Amino acid sequence: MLDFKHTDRTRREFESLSLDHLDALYSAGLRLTKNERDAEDLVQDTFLRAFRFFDKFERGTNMKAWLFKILTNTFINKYRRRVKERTVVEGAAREAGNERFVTREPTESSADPEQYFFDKLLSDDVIRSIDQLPIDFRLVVILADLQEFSYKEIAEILDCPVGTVMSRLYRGRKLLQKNLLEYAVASGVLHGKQALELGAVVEEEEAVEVLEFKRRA
Amino acid sequence: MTHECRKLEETFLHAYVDGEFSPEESGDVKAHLAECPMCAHAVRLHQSYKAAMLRANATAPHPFYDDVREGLMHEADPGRWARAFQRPSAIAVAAACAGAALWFLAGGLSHPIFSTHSLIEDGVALHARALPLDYPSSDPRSAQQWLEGKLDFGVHLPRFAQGARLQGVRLSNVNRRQAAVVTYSLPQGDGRRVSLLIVDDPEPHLPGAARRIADREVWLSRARGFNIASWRNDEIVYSLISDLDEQDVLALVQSAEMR
Repeated sequence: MLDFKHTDRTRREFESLSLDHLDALYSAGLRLTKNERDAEDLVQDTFLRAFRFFDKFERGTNMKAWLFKILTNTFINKYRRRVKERTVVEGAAREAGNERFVTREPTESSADPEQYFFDKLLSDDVIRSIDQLPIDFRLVVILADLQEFSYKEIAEILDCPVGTVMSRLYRGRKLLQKNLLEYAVASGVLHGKQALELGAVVEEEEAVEVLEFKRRA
Repeated sequence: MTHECRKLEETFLHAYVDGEFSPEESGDVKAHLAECPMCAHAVRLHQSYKAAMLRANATAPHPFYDDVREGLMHEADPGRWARAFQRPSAIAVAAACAGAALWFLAGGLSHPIFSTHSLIEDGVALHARALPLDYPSSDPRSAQQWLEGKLDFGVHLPRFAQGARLQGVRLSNVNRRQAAVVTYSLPQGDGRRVSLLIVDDPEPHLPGAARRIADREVWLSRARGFNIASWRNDEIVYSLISDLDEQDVLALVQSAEMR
C-alpha cells in the first residue's frame, strides 16, 4: 500500500530540519549565481534534491552542511555555465537587484580610534568584491565568511583537504580585500593616509606565499 | 604586525578569529595579544572584516519560502516507489485500487518505475546501434572540453586503468534528458566496444543490485545480453554498458578514476 501518511511525515520532518536554512542557502546561492532568478532556481533545486536523497541523510548530523554540499554540487554541475553566459547581459539589472536586500547605510562613523576600515564599508561594495572573485576562492569565502562554517566543514562540503580550504581562504580574502580597498578609495569611504597604510598591508601580504597552517602546541 | 612581530603568523591569527581553536589554545593567543599591539591590531582588523562580510548576507524574498514548501509538497516521498516495487503485494493492491486509467494519468510510461528502466533500455539501444561519434578523440581532456559546451550539467570523463582507450563521444537523449555517450575500445578481443552513458538523472534509485566497489556504490544489472554498471558522481549518473562478463565489468569500474 502506498503510505501517504509516511510521505507526509517524512516531508514534515524534512521541512522542520531544512527550512531554517533557507535564508543561508539563498544568500550563498545569490553570491554564487550573482542574480536572483538563478539563485531561486538553484535553491529550489537544492531543496528538491535534498528531499529526494533525504533517506541518505544521517539523522543527528549537520543538516546545514549537508544542504550546502548539495547546493555547491548542484551549482557546479548545472548553473555555472548558465551564469557565465548571462552575466554580461544582466550585469546592470543585477546591480539594481541587489539593493533590495542589502543596507546601503554604512555603519555610523565614530571618533573611536579603533574604528576600522571594514566597519565603514557599504554592503554593496562588499557584494561587488565577492562577486569579482574567481569561483574557487568565492566558494570558500562564502562558506567561511558569510556562512561561518568551520574549516573542517568546508573541507567536507567541497570534498577537499583542510589545507586547500585554508590556502584558498587566505588568498580569496586577500583578493577580496584588495577589491574592497579600491572601491573604498573610489567612493571616498577611505582616503589619504588610511588608504596608503592599508594598501601597503595588502600589497605586502600579497607577496607572501600561501602560508602553511602552523598550529602551536 | 608582519614587520615587528614574527611570533604569530597571520593565518594563525585568522584561524583564531575564525574560532578554530580550543579554549586553551585561544587562551594562549589572548595572552600574547595582551602584550603585542601589532597582533592585536591584526586580530581586530580581521574581526571588522568578518563583521562587514556578515552584514552583506541577503535574506530570501518572503514569497520564495512558500514556493519552496509548495515544491516539496509536490515532490513524492523519496523511497515511495522503490518500496512499492520491492513488495509485489503492494503493487497488486495499488494496481487494483488505481487501475490502468489512473496509471496513465499518473504519468504513464514516464513513471519513475519505468524511467529507471528506460535508462537501461535506452542505454543498451544506444550501445548496440554504435552510431557515429560526434567528436572522435582519444584524448579525454579535449573530449571533456568539447562536452562542456554542449551539456547543461558537468561531467567527468573517467580514466580507466584497464587499458580502455577513448574513441570519442556522442550527444544523445535518454528519457527526454540530455545525455552523452562515451565510447571506449578494449585491447582484448579485437577492440571490443564499451559505452559509458552519462545522464543527469534525478531519480534517486539506480537500476539493479547495489555493490560497493572502490568506495562507490555501483548498481549492476543485465539487459538484452549486456551487463550494465551504474554509479553516481556529483549526482550525475554514469552507466557502463558492454558485453563483458560481470567480473570484467567490475574490474573496469574499479579502475575508473573520476578526476
